[in-house]
Amino acid sequence: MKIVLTPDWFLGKDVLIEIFSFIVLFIFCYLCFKNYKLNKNKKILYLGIGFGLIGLAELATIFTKLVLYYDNPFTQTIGDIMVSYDVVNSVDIFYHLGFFFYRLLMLLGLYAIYKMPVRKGHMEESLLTLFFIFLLSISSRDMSYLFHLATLVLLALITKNYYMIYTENASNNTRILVFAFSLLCLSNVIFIASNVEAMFVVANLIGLASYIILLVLIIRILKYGTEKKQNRHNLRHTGNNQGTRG
Amino acid sequence: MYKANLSHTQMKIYIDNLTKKGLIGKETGKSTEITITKKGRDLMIKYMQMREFEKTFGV
Repeated sequence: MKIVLTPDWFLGKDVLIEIFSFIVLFIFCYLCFKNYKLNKNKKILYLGIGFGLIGLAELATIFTKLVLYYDNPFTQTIGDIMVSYDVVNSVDIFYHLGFFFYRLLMLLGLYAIYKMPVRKGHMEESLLTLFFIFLLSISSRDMSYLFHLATLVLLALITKNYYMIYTENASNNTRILVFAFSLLCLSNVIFIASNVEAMFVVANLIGLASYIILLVLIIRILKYGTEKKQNRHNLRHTGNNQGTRG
Repeated sequence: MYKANLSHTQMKIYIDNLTKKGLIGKETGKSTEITITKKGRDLMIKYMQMREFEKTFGV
């Protein structure tokens, strides 16, 4: 059975895209925890947990794919000496476990991000959702479109939430955020229909574009404090570089 | 003081507090000049980044 849909020429490149995604998600997670330390806002903490979980999901798939792509000699040796079925089966279990954690952590992370700005619901409701996420992560092993469909629904809800926030604050950064999540939605739509290998590549590339946009957003947020506001308040500080701009 | 909607007593408390924490410094010459320190400026930058982050995500 083919475990991943990646075409041969794209092997390795998809891992690079995932490493890039992981770095962007890790930076978001770091920023959330840094902000949480400053203001103890629990919503930021949940947002950080959400990004962190998606980052871990990317990490799970990176490790699994690295073993899958680059550990061929080991698998080959097993094939050559006709090692018993149980051993081969255990290798299979490793792959499936790796992708299971990818699906589980991805859905949990997206759910955390979706749930963050929404009003608190009942505890039972959240537990039930977590149960269904767990169930879906197991059952979508052989039907990847189910996983992508669930991801798409969560991403669409998150995009809707951020769009509502954008209508309230009219912030350019929120608009960028909405655009990035819309692209992630689009990439998942293509993933659902990615029986053709070329479509799988296109979906990956659109995913990469959305993570690049998220990185641009991080840079804009970090630059905001050092440029725009500083000039407006006409700040001066004591020390050697008094009266200068950093 | 008036722009910040503070009374003189309140302002003094805040200034003492910020001076103790090393966020602002007093320079005494002909008149006392209050300036922001590097530590204060760094904290302000962090605070503005945090506010922008919160605004972006609507939290």
